[in-house]
Amino acid sequence: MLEIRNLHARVEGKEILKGVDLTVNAGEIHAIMGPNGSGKSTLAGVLAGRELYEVTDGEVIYKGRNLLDLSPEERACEGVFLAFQYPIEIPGVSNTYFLKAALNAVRKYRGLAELDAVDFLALVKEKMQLVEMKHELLNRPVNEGFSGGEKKRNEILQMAVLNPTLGILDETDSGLDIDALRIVANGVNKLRSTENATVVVTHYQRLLNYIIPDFVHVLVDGRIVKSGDKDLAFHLEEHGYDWARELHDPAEQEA
Amino acid sequence: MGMSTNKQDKALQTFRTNFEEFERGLNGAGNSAMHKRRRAAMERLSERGFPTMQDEEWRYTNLGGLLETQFERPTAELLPDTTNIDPVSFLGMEETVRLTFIDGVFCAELSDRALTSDALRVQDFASVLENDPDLILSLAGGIDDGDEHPFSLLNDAFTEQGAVIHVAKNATDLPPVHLLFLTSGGGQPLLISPRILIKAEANSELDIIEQYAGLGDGRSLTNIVVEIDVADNAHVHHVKLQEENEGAWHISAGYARIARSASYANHYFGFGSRLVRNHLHTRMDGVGAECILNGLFMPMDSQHMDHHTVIDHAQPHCNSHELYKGLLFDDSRGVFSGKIIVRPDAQKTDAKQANNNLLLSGNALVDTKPQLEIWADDVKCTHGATIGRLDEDALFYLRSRGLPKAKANSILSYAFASELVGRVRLGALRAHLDAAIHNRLERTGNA
Ligand SMILES: Nc1ncnc2c1ncn2[C@@H]1O[C@H](COP(=O)(O)OP(=O)(O)OP(=O)(O)O)[C@@H](O)[C@H]1O
Ligand SMILES: [Mg+2]
Repeated sequence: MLEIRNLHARVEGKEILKGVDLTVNAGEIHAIMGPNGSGKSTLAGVLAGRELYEVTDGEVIYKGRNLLDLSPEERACEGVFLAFQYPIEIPGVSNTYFLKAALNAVRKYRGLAELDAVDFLALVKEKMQLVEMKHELLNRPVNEGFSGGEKKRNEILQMAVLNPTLGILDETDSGLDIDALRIVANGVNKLRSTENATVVVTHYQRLLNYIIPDFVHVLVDGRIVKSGDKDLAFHLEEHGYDWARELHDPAEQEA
Repeated sequence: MGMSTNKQDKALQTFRTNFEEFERGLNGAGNSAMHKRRRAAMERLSERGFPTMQDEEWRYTNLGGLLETQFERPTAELLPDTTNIDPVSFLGMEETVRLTFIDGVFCAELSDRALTSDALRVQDFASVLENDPDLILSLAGGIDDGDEHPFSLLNDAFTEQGAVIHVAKNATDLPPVHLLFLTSGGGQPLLISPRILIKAEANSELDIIEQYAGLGDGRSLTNIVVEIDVADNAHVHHVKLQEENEGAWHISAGYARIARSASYANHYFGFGSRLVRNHLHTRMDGVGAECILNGLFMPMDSQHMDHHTVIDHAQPHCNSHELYKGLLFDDSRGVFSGKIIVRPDAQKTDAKQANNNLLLSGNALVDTKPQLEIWADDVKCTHGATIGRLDEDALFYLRSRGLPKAKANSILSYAFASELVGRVRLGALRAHLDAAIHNRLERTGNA
């Protein structure tokens, strides 16, 4: 479904991704772990189409197409969804209005009829149960004044409503209490199918007890230096990242 | 100065010729007290002259095109056919008391018949001038501007049409008054000089909507003066909609006097005209008065919209709240100049002013100039001005959920603008404003 080859990207002239290779097939869950500043969010942002990041080399093939040629909205309509590490607050735009406009934009692109207010509300209510979100948050401006956990649940609600093929969760577990973590993970698991895939970026092995990954990758200084199964996460939890840094060839770092 | 002074002098000469013609048509009325006022105004204007961009108050606004245009006074013969005009359609509000003007001339057929009750008298200026000229003389010119506004003098010199609104003591729950000014914009460029006089007696409450719209795309100058007197504990909610066509120049001066425990709210929405210059001067003349000035302007193409406000705190314990927002497209230009004066007696003043602008094009420009003159010591004054662009993070967030770029622009722009719509009391009016904002967003390719 997704094939990333030798991806290089920079931000404000500084190279952040230095040759990422990653293949994700339908039905799989991949976890990406790595130290702060190693480029995890940059990778997620590049996949979602953030213009801030300049791709300087490599390619990304998604469902047989060159993903990097698509605008952010086309990617979303094609089924790419990024749950933001820091969801954006949008004053003056109600959460319901936003969700409905987004859903209908995506449905229109996919050749489906747009939903009217009644059908939309029914759908949202169903999905809100999945993430146990308070109903009042629907009528508030998008993420404005939401607590950290409420913002993360709102991301998963959007994901549930938009029904993506490739979900990228950037530290959706940070800032969640134990109960919320279980709820969010539960939501992700229920959305799981043989047709879609999920990439979770996390710092904590804990999340992976709930969302069990098929693969775990370690991203250090803009490269995936090690890949393994879920046990790799335990190893990282115990030993930190220093050993992984050593896997990374310092000679190449200069290049 | 040479060239520009020339331009100002020539314009003055044109208006003087118009004035002389106007006088000749007056026959016997030429010696009335009203006409003496007009003549005095024409003389003062001749002495003062039209402003140049060297005048501090006019430095952002080039009047060149206006001053070079040969305007004519509209006369009954120039009026267009009114049979196909539906006055309700301009606002979509049925439950109003409406006066309609075409090129500044009162149009009885398009106005409501039964306009007068004990509680609310809504009359056209020309009939009041005929039947009760003393009323006009008592209401007009009551508020001293300090520095005489040249276009107010021009209005004074040509005043013969407009509206006179009188709200009786204790009168509340009145239907909103709708003043509809339509500009035909046909052949000859017209000089349209309406005068609106509003008096709200003690404890009364009034909603008034002042709307300017175009019928064609010819050239005209609407040069209006509005005078508002809000007596003790009265409340006036004033909405002005500026939707003239792009052949129109629009210059206005509003003066409001707000008495003890009274409030005056002015909500301005600017979409139309090639050039707008609004001057709004409010004075809180009684203890515990309140003044609210809200404004939204959304110029596109090469429209120029200039807003000057003065809020004068003359008495203690008064509050003022001002919020002007500009959303500028294409090659348009905006100006906000907001002065707050706090007089030595005005202790415990609470004044808040903000001007926020969003530029949706690299060619749009806005100048913002807050000015505080504070002579009292126990006051709270805050002011702030911002000029920016749509938030990139928010745009990306919306787009990452599948919303096309133009739609994302539109959602964020609407969110910025709608704050001011939300402050308008009348629901039907809010619907009209929402539609106007969306229309502007569509026309500028943001939908
Ligand atoms: N807009 C930006 N301007 C400048 N530098 C940036 C920008 N965005 C990211 N960076 C830099 O790129 C590097 C990688 O950032 P990124 O957010 O991808 O890290 P991360 O792996 O997600 O870290 P964390 O675990 O802290 O979330 C960091 O050094 C960061 O400072
Ligand atoms: Mg990150």
